[in-house]
Amino acid sequence: MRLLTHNMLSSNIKGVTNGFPLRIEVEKVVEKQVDFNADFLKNMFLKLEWMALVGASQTMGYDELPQEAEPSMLDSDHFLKRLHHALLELHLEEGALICPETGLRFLVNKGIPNMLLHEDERLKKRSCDLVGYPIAKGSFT
Amino acid sequence: MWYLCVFYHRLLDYRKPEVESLAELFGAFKDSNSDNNGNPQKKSLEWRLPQDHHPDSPFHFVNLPSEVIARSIANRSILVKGIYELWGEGSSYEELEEAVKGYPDERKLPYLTSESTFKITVDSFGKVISFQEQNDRIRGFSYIPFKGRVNLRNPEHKFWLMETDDYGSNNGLPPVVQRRIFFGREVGAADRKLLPTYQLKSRTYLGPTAMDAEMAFLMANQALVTPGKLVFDPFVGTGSILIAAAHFGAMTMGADIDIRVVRDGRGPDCNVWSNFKQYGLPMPISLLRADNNLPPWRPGLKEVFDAIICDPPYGVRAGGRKSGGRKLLKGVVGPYTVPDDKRTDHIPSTAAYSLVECVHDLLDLAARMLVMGGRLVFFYPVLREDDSIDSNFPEHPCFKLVASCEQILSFRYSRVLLTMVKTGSYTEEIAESARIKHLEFKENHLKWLEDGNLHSAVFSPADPQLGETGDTKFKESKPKYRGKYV
Repeated sequence: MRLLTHNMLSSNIKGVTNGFPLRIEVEKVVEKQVDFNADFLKNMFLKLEWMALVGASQTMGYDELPQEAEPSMLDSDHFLKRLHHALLELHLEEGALICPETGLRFLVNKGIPNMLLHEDERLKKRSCDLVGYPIAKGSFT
Repeated sequence: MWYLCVFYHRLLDYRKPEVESLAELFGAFKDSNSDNNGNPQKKSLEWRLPQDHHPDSPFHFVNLPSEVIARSIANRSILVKGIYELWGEGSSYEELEEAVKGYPDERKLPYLTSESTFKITVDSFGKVISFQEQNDRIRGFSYIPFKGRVNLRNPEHKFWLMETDDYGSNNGLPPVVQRRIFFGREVGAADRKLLPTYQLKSRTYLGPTAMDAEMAFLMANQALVTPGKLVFDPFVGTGSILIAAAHFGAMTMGADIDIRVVRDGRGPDCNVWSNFKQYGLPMPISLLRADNNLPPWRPGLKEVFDAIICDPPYGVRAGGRKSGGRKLLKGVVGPYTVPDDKRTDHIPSTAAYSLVECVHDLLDLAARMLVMGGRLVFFYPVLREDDSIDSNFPEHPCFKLVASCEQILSFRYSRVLLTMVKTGSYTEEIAESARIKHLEFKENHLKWLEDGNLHSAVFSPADPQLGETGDTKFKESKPKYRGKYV
């Protein structure tokens, strides 16, 4: 899992209001080279939650990103290279993503984050409205 | 300028939409992007048919703003055999000669100079022209002052003589009353060599519903994929659609609810990653296991994908799944507590995910996650009745339908490739109105799609009532078992 993905994901358990950013529990990090594409980075930069990226890259052992960033920095090659490395080349191969609110763990195995919870975890947060859920859901379909 | 556009005679419904999409991709509509009030104008090309031709004919005329655009379209396309600058056409060789002679010299002479190399190809539709006849026809062009040298392998200029004649009997087209002959200079042609390279039979990791390479490239073209764009497939499976997108340079992301498919495949050298490696394509940005019914994207995230391309599970060959067991969702049973020693490899239960719900979730996701002008391209199944289909397709206030292309899968059903463009931004109110609209649509058009009706419509034996009408001829024309054709 790349940090770009991490920056997009949150805990989607019903009832969790603040499921972002997911904490990263590192077991194994690998680096894979990716072709540099400045336009893609510039495009993505606008969509990023910067602090979450800085935090995540530090957890993965990379602290070359500035604490704050603004679009004007995109003109600097130096900055783009670092962004490229943090966003696309650092992979969490084994580990977990942890919901900041409930502490539930989404495992990352062979680089694939598993964003589906076990049955009992999924319902932990709202065991009170167990019956209400399927009815509300039904109106959607 | 008008060009002659000749198609491969297949996937008839997909041909013009592909050219229209590529025209947009290569900037054919740039000057007419909006009128003075900033309203987007209709983006479509002008088309014209040769005299006496049926719309299904492979020969069409299309008006394109420049030769550069025409070449880019032809080279990128899958279904365009070639785009030609027409030097002349006629119903007989005498008429053709007159037309070619009448074509302005300043358009012809630059391609006939003594320094250039050229080649003339004789082609026909619906009949075979023998080698001897081909040579005779080429010799017949002595009235064109070719000064260059002939080079059959790598000519600078390629000229084509194309003939169609009475092709009505075997290919399903109504016969052309008169034969038509075209002569023109090739501007560009499709690179179908892609297809053998990417064909499924030589791909390592395949699933039962892997998308055929030709169709995957067509979908990528409909989605206007270009280098650096971010493309998402929420039902990624073995990655067959993303491979086509990656071939055209896109960054790809895929999700699937089945963790065995995205994570494990059939082993270390036979999985989604290995498929990308096989073709030397850049790996997907990310593959994840997620439920389309309960997307894992952070709340503030929107307008991040340039295109969403997918083949949703519609319950004929593969059914959709969403998280939560059937009984669990109905509230009949409480959540199953997973024993601690089994937690790591436990696969949580899933329930059937009807196409209706799936399409609603897909439109909602796309409305939120696509950039403005981004495209949603997906397949949607329809039943065929009396050789026609119900052309009511799902709608969403944020989207405009730009193309719907039918591919007949069996006597009973077809799938339609829908191409939608995001034209309005996503808000909570829109999401709510879309939900209501969807409910109405479902009420009117989708009743039959629920609870596996599509599956039974496709697989059930022929309607027994037909026998009673005494129309045995009609009954006999219906094969008893259609399953293997699906």
